[in-house]
Amino acid sequence: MKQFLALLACVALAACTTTNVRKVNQAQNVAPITSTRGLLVQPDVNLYVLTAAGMQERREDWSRMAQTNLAEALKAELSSRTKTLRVLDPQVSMDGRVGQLIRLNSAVGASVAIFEYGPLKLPTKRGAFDWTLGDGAKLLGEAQGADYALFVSANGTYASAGRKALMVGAALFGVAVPLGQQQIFASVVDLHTGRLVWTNVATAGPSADIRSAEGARSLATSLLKDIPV
Amino acid sequence: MSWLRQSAAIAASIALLLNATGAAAQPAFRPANLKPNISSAEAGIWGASDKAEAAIRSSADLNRDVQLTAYVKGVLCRIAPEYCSEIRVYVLDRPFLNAGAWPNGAVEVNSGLLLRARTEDELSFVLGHEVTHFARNHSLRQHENEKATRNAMLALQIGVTLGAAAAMYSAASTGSPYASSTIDSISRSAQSLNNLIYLAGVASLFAYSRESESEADEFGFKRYHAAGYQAAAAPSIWHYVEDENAASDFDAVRRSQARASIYMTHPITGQRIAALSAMAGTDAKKDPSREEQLRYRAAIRPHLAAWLKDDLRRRDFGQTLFLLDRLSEPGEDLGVINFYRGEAFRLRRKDGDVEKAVAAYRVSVSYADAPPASYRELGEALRKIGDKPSAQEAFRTYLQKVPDAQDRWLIEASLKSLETGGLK
Amino acid sequence: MKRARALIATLAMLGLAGCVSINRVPAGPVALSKGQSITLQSDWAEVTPVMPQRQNAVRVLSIDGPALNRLYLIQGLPSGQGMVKRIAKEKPVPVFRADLSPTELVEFIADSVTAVGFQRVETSNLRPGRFGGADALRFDLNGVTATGLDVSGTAQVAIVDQKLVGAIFLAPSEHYFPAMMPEIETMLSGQATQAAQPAAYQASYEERVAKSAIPPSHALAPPAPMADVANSSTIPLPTKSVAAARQPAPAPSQRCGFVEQANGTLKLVPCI
Repeated sequence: MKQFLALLACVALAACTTTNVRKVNQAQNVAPITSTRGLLVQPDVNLYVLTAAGMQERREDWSRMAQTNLAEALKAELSSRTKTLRVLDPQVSMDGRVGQLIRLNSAVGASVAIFEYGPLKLPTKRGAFDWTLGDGAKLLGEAQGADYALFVSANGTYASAGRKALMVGAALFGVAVPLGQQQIFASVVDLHTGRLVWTNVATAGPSADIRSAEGARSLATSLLKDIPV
Repeated sequence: MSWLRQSAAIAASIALLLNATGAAAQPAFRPANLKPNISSAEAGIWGASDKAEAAIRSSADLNRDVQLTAYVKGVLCRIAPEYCSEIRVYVLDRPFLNAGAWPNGAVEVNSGLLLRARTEDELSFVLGHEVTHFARNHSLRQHENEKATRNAMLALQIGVTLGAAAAMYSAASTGSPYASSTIDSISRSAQSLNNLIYLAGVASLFAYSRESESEADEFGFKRYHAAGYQAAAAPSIWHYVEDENAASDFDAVRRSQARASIYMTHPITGQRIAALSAMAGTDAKKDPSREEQLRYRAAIRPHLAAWLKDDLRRRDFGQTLFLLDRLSEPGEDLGVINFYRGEAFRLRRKDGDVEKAVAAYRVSVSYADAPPASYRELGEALRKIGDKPSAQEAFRTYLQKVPDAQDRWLIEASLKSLETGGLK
Repeated sequence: MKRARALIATLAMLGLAGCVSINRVPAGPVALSKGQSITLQSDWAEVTPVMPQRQNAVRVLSIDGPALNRLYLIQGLPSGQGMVKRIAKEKPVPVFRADLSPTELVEFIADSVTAVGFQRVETSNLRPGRFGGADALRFDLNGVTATGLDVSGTAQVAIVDQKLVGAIFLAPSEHYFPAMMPEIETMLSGQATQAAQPAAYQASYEERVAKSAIPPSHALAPPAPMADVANSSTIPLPTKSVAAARQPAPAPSQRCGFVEQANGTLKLVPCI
C-alpha cells in the first residue's frame, strides 16, 4: 500500500524530474566559455511505448514530435544565453573530420556515462572531470562559426494504458511495476579547446513529457539550468 | 477487480483473433512510393529503418564502389521496376550470403552473396526473393503476429498466476536496453523488434515465417523469370547453400538446416528447393554457360581478392575451400583463387596442409593474375617443408616483383638464414 | 553506442555485485615475461576485469576508458590460445602458435584486433624492435569501429620460450592516438624518443577519412514526410477477420512493373 501511494504521489506531483550534473571544477582553471556563438547538434531522440507485456515498441511519431519539441525548447533556452545559435543535423554530417568528431563525441559520451555516472570509476580520473574531443573540435567551431556545442540524446519509454492499469493493480499486491522513464544525456563542448566542460543526465518524471511542447520546455529548462554559457 | 474481468475479456477476444488469422485474405503487392501513416505502428518500424539506414551509411562495412553498387541496383530495377526509384542499394562487405530489404526501401546486399552467385541470374533470384519480402510487407506482418501472440500470452498468464506475471513485468521492464533478454526467456516468441532500437535489428526484422519464405520463393521466381533470367538459377543457388553448409568444418553448422545467412532466416529445406525445381520445369537442370559465368565475374572481379580474404576470416575452411572450387569452374582468375586456396591450407594447419599449400601456391604463380604475395607465401611454405633451394628461389622472385615491399628486410633476413643453413 | 550499452550492462551488473573494481597500475616497469618488460610512463587503470572474453596472460590497461585508449599487454600467451577466449565451437578465434612466421605473427595480431571488434584492420611500417634481450616485431595498425570511428594503433611482439609477449596500443585517430604516442614510443623502444613523424601521421589519417566519404550515388533522399495524413496510407497487412474486405488494388493505369494476374502469373507493365 505504501508503494502504491508513493507511485501515485509521483504521478500527481508536477515536478518529478531529477538531474545529475558533472562539470569541470572551478578549481581546475578552465577558462569559461565566452558565450557568444552556440552550436546545437540536433538531438537524437528515441521514444518507445512500453506495452503491458513489457515489449518496447518504437513510436516514430512520438520520437519525431519529441525531437522537434526538444530541439525547439533547447533552441529557446540557449537563444536567451547566446548571441547566435546554429543547428547541425548529424545524419548529414558524417563525412570527413567533422563526422569523426561526431563519432568521437559518442565514444567520449559513452565513457562519461560509464565512468562518471556508472558504478565503476577510473582511478586515472579521480577528482577531476577531464574529458576532451581534442584540438580537432576547432574545425567544427570554424565550420559552424561557434564557440561551444551542445550535444543531446534522449531515450524514453512511456507506459501504455494497459501497462498503467497493470501497475495500479499489481501495486495493490505490493509489486512495483515500473512505468518506464525518459533519460536525457547532454554535454557541452568548448569548441576552442575540445574539452567537455559540462555534462548532465536528466531523468524525467511522468509529467515532464517531451512529446508535448510544454513538457519539452520544462525538461530543457531543468536540463540546462546551470549550463556554463 | 474490474481489471481482472477486463483482462479475461481481452484474453477471450485475442484467442478468437488468433484463430481467425489463419484464414486471412492475402494482401496485394505494396504500391510504389508508399509512406505510412505517422501515428501507426508501421511508422515506428519505418523510422527505425531510417535509423538503420543512417547507421549503414556511416558503417565501416559499406562498400563504396560506385560501379558495383550501380550494377546491383540495375539488377534490382530489372526485376522490380515499380520500386526502382524508391530503392537505395548498399553493398556491405560481409562474408555471409544474405540480402535484405528494409520496409523504408533501403536494400542491403552482402558481399558473401555477390561472391557465391555464379551468374547474374542466381543473384537476381535472391534479390527477387528479398524484394518479395519487401513487396508483401512480411516484416510488418511478422511484427503484428508477434504483438498478437505476446498479448495473448499476457492475458493467459494474468488469468493463471498473478504472481508469475508480476515477476515477469518487474524483471523485464526498467525501460532499459537489456530487459528484452528476460522477456525472451519467458516468451517463446522469436526475438522481438526491440532489437531494431539498438540497430541490431536485422535478425528480428528478417526472422520471417516459413510461409513468408515460401511466398518469397514463389514470387521471387515469378519476377526474375518474367524479367528474362534463367529458371534453373533459383533451385541451383539454394542447392549451393545446402551443399556449402554440408561442407562446414563445424558440427553445429552441418547439423543445422541450411540457412541463407547468419541472420536466422528460415531454413532452406528440401521442400523449398523441390518447389522451385517444379516451377522451373524442364529447365531445372540447365547449367549456366561459361559465357554467362564470365560476364558476371567481370562485375565482381575487382573485389574478388578482398572478399576471399574476408571469407577466410570466418575460419570455416571447409566452406571456403568448397567456395573456391565453385569459383574455379569457369577457369578464370586462377592466380587469385589458388592463392587463397593456399591461404586456406596455411591457416587450417591440419596434417598434410603445408604440402597442399605448396601445391596451391605453385598453381597460383603459374598464372598472370597471381598476387605477388603468392611468391612470398610459396617461399614460406617451402621453407616449412624443408625445401631450401626452392624457398630461396620463391623469395627472390617475390623481391623482384615487389621491389618496395614493406617486409623486404624480413624476407632478406629469411634468405640469409636459409643460405647459412640456420633454423629460421 | 550499442557496444557501449552492452558494456554498461556488463559493468552495471558487475559493479552492483560488488566484485569488480578498476585498480590503478602505477608508473614503472611491468614484466611481460622473465626477461622482457615495458615501463609505463604514467599511471594507468586496469580495465581487464570489464573486457569481454577475457583470456589469461592478456591484460588491458586504459586511461580514459577502453573506447578512448586501450593498451593490451600480452604476458606469455601459450601456443594454442588466442588473445580472446572462444565462446562457441563454431565461432573460432585467431590462435597463436609458437612456430608462426613473422608475417603470420603480424597477421595473428591484425586478426585478433578484428576479433575484439575493429574492422578493416591493416598493418604497415613493419620494422624490427627489441624487448629486453629478444628480437621483436614492431608495426603500426589502423582500422575503424563498427560505427566508422577511425582508430590507429601500434604493436610490438616477440616469441620468447615458445610464448607470445607483447604490447598493442589502440586509440581513436582523432586526438587520442597522437596524444599518447610520445609515451607509447618511449615505452616500446625503451628510450626517450620523439613521436614518429606526427605530421605524416596526421596526413595519412586525413587522407583515409577523406577517402571514406560516401559517394554521391548513395545520396539519401530526404526522410519520408509522414506527418501529412491525407497523403499517406496504412501499409496493407493481412486482415484479421475473415469478413473484412480485401484491400482495394490501385488503379491499373497508374501501376507499372509486375502486376499479378488473375491466373497467378506476373505480367510486366513497363514503367515509362
